[in-house]
Amino acid sequence: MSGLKLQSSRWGLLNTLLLLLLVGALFFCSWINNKAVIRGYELSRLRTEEKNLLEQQDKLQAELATLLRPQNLARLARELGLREPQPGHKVVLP
Amino acid sequence: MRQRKKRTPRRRTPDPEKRQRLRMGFLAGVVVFCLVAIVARAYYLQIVRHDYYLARQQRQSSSTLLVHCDRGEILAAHGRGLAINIKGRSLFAEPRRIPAKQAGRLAARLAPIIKVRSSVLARRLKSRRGFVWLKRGLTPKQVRALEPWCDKYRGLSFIKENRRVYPNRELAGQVLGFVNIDGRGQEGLELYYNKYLEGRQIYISLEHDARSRVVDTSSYPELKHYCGKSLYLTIDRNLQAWTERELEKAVVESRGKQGVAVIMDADNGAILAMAQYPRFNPNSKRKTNPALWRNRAVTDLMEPGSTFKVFTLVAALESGVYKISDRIDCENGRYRVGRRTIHDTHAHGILRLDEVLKYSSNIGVSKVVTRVGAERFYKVLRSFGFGSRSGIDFPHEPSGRLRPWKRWRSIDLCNLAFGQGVALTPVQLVAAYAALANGGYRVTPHLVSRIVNSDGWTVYEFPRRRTAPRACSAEVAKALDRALGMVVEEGGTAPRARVAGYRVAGKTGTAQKFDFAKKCYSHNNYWASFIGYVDPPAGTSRKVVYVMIDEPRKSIYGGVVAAPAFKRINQRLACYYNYPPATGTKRLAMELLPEEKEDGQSAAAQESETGAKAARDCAERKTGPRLMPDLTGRTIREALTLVSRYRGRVEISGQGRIAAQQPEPGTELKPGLDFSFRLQRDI
Repeated sequence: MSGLKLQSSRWGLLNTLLLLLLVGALFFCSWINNKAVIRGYELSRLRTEEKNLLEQQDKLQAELATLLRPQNLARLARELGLREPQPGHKVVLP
Repeated sequence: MRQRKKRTPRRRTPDPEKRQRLRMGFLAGVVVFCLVAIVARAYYLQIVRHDYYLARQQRQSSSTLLVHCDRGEILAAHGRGLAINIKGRSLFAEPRRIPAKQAGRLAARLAPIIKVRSSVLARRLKSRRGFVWLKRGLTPKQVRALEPWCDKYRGLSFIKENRRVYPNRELAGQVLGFVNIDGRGQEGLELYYNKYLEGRQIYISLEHDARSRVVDTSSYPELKHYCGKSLYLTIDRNLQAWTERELEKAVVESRGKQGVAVIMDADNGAILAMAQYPRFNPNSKRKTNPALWRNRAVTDLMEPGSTFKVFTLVAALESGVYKISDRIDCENGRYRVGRRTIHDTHAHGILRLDEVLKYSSNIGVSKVVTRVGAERFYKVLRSFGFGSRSGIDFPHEPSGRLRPWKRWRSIDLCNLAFGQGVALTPVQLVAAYAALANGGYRVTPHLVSRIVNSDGWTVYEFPRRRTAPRACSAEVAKALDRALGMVVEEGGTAPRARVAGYRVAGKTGTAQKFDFAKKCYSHNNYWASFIGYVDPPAGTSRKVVYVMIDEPRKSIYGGVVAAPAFKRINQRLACYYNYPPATGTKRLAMELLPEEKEDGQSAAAQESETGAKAARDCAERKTGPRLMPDLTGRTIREALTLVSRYRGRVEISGQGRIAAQQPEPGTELKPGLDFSFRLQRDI
């Protein structure tokens, strides 16, 4: 009788452990899934942010190119008192 | 009889263990039944209806997005952007989601912001369509003004679109062309290279949740592989800017209608600058006259006038009928051919063949061509590409007009000799002169040097080797180069084209325009032009420069109107490419622009001082031993001019004028000697 009880308690323990393991695995899976979804949202947000920053960069580069256009530089140089070099004014060193 | 009592069966008390087993069995049965039901249902959903539910899931959780990949950029020779992309916003509406009663009021509110008539907007908003454009390509200011309206109305929203921007504004506007609202090339290089520049449209599948938020973007493709390819032009941004400025100056000064200027590398046909006045800004194409969109240097035919005479002389020399030293009687300015009389601007007697070019004698070339003959002349003209397209990579280039020689009358032949009765584009003329400048090889003009993909790999490069046939022999090209050099000499037609310090060769052109109303040549309207080149240092290719002013009013002559612009462009060109002056080096080197001193010393005084120093230097160089002079107080430019011929290393520190020098004054100068200068402002 005591042997039967011992055997049944072992089975119970094993079943409980298995059940806990199963529940744990389920929780783990759902946690992983949840994390993946959160990371996905984050990735999506970062991608949008990257896109916006790249667009902003493009706009700034366009603005820079407009400011650096030769006509503008020549005008600014003239305003600052610079003059255009004539052929003899440039000395090319060997 | 005693009725026997019916004995009720005695209920047996069940065995608790047995009862428990029965309950457990029942429970197990229920569980098993449930499990079987679940498995059966799962089997039905997962196996039997698999495709149906998969499709339904995908439909609900994923969406397809159409992406327009970026158009390729257009870059100048050194990589500066001439046409680039930015993201712009456009306004659209979903009329079904806007209450019909509010459509009119909304249209009235939006109209002044987006500059579209309210009646047009109201019609669009009242249409019961799913999607209508309200305004594309909004400015940032308009976007800011519209944002509250988009928040208020669900049926009103922005969409991001690629927008083409030309950051240099008018610079090379006609060359670049422009794109339409959908990003397709409509004019210029944007049109010609549209198939390379255009980005692809691709569909991207995105996963999203019940609230339409994108969940996973890991499958997002690398879009740059689908972007358009970029063009590297042969056009140099700085040269283009200068050429445009000088052309504008020339047109305004001569009170002309318009002007064209082209610079071409004679060795390979690369176009370094292609300017036009009035200019055109592709960013605001709708505000400009469509006539300005056309690149006249490539699309417009014109009569070359006297610039064509050089090809008459090529025919004369190539055919062997004449030598350059042969003499022609120019009949003192009047020469009769049939019933027509040919005139010269100035009366000339007997001229050598090169002098015919120098004085631009119509009679001289008429006599020459008559002896050469129509067939030989025609062959030479064809060998230079006249009467056909130059092959430039630009849309709408017409073939030049050159009638077959069998249809020429004797007066037609004479007219052709001085550039009447033939039509060509400025680029075709420049390409023909490039052949003369490079020793006789024909070149194909081109604007694009290479095409690169989005990864930076070159997918096409213009061949650098000259494969085109020869247009004339090297000897003839050389002889005519000398003759063209005489044109800018004193007494020639274009002394104003001379560039101090450099040998210039070129030819003026003054061509009457044909009056189509009166069906005769106009006596008021002319094309005044000058085409030529400056001799570069050995090993460097010549750059053919062409300037043409249309209908100048100040003077009609190319030598007066176009030659000064040619001179100014070449001065800059020589400076830009570091051409060392061939003649008058010392004089040029000392012709420094005087810098104003703080104490108000006059420019003239400084100039004379500089001149005196220059004279002292020259005297030192001529007479004394080669000793290091005392350069204290002089400018670094003066010092460099002096020391550059010793080919030593030069170290410069500080700013201002020279305060200390190494080697010390009086040290003997030898080749390879190193120099050091310390500059100071208050010297």
